[in-house]
Amino acid sequence: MFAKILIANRGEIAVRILRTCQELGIPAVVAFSEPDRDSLAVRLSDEAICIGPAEARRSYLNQPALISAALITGCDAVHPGYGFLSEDASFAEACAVHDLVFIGPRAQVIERFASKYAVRRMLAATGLPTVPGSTGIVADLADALAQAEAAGYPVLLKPSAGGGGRGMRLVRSPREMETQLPLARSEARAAFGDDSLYFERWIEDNRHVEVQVLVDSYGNGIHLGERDCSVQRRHQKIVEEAPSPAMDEPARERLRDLAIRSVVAAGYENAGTLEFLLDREGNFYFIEINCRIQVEHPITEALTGIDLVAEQLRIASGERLTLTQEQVQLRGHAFEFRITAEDAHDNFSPQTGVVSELSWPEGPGIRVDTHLFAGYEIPPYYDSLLAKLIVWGEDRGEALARARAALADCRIEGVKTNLPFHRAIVDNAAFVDAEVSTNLLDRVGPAAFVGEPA
Amino acid sequence: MSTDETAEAMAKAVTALVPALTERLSRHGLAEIEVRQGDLRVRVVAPGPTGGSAAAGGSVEVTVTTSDVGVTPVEGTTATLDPVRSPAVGHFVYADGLGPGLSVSAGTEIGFVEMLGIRHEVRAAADGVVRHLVAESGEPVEYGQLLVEIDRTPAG
Repeated sequence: MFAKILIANRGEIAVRILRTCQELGIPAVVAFSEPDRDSLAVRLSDEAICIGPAEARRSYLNQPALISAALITGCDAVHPGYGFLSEDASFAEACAVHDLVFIGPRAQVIERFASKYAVRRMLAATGLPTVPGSTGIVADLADALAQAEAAGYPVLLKPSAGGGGRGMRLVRSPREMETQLPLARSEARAAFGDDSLYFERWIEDNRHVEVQVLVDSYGNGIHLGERDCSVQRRHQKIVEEAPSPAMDEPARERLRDLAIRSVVAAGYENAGTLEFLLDREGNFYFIEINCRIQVEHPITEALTGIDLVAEQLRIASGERLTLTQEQVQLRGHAFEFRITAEDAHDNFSPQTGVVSELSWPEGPGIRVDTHLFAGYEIPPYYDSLLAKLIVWGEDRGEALARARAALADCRIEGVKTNLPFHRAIVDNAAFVDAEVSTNLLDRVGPAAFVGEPA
Repeated sequence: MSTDETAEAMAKAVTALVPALTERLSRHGLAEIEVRQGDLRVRVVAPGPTGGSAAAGGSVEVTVTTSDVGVTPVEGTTATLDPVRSPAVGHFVYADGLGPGLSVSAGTEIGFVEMLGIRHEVRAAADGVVRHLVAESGEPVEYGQLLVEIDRTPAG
């Protein structure tokens, strides 16, 4: 195991990683930017080091500063958390060059799993279903029509050189293909200087389901079940739960089994998450893999009793998995509510301020991961996540009932949050009946859930 | 504050602060250290080549002043103390010949912080006189760490 770990992150995840280090008796150093000097992670740490100013590019994304900080404090490993440099192959490589262990997959593994398109092809080859679409770039209109007929309408035309949703066009019929294809081409040429296009079937009312895996460096892998993250706003997850209420047990088993087999076959290592779209008919399609610990990992911990950060540390330090798949028991049901500094009554606009009063719910099945304390000033520079409320129950009904009570007991004064949204969604019929698809919030608007401010 | 009260306050400050400051001075290998308590200023200077008394037994030089009764006029009480901070995370090294009392101008090299083999220069921001060497040469420093304090030369 490691002698000392540099925590190269901030907020709740820095506190979360620090807790596991302290439990395992591994000294940890918290790297922080200037405005985070008084943060909870720094306060709880035995050692902390300032790596740069507020701007993430000069602090939490500053590779030389982080590596230098690790070296001068005598660390032999770096935990990147999530976001920032957590999936950056060049940072993993730079760590290795300085004899620091990057806690995550090795650089060459991250690199191999970096390109979404290449990973889809790689994992399709090891048995994962992917969204039906064109085989590579479409040649011409005749080719597009023939291939779309085979894949099934509607399809989403995408510029091959594009990204971030730019230049995508929804095509619902052969007639639309005839008009949209030339438009999409000229758009792509104008935007990216490359007019090659491909398409995927558009799965309209999808749910987002993901499988947590752990794979050691010797090719042993286990899954820890799936999570359902269908409550989203603009592709940002807001509420997650496990197991997925939209699948029955045989379907869940099939998904988990396929996921772990294919990812082991493809040579993945450390903790990872395979994301899938689930359609109304129960078909699932692989979309991408996340090579890091995820924000929503605590619901998996609630079901399995396994500390995922501790497992990341063990795998990165070269230990073999000691758990077998049979030993992983998924018990009960869990929800995670992401509490953010966003005004639920004002289109989720980001908020800053000083937390003047703070109290959290307590009781069986309740966990709060947060970096807040009374008097904490929320800096404007970073993401808006303030806390994660994780609620566990023997079944979905019990977990939901506990969640209602727990959300009512959350008290954060001094800054506006999205708590009103969470309190509303746990009473929303679509959510209670597990009928929420990923586009629901964007379609009806969050106001439909929270109503007008009192 | 009357003269009697001032004397009493100074005596108290010396009793309370000097042992602690002296201990800290030697522990961190500092050249000098100064604290303020209300109107009082207590300044402890270590013996040695960089300043302070040459008194036998390595004793320290202690200066206690108040703002209303100038027992010992401390140089530059009206000047602004200009902190020079580390621009990087790494090991700090002083420029040759740098020490308290040295006059510097804006841009004078104070030293450098070496981060992964790359030197990040540390320079004075304004004209003035080097007052305190806070960091030690070769010491690992964090971003923003106080390295040196400079008494800024009053304009005009």
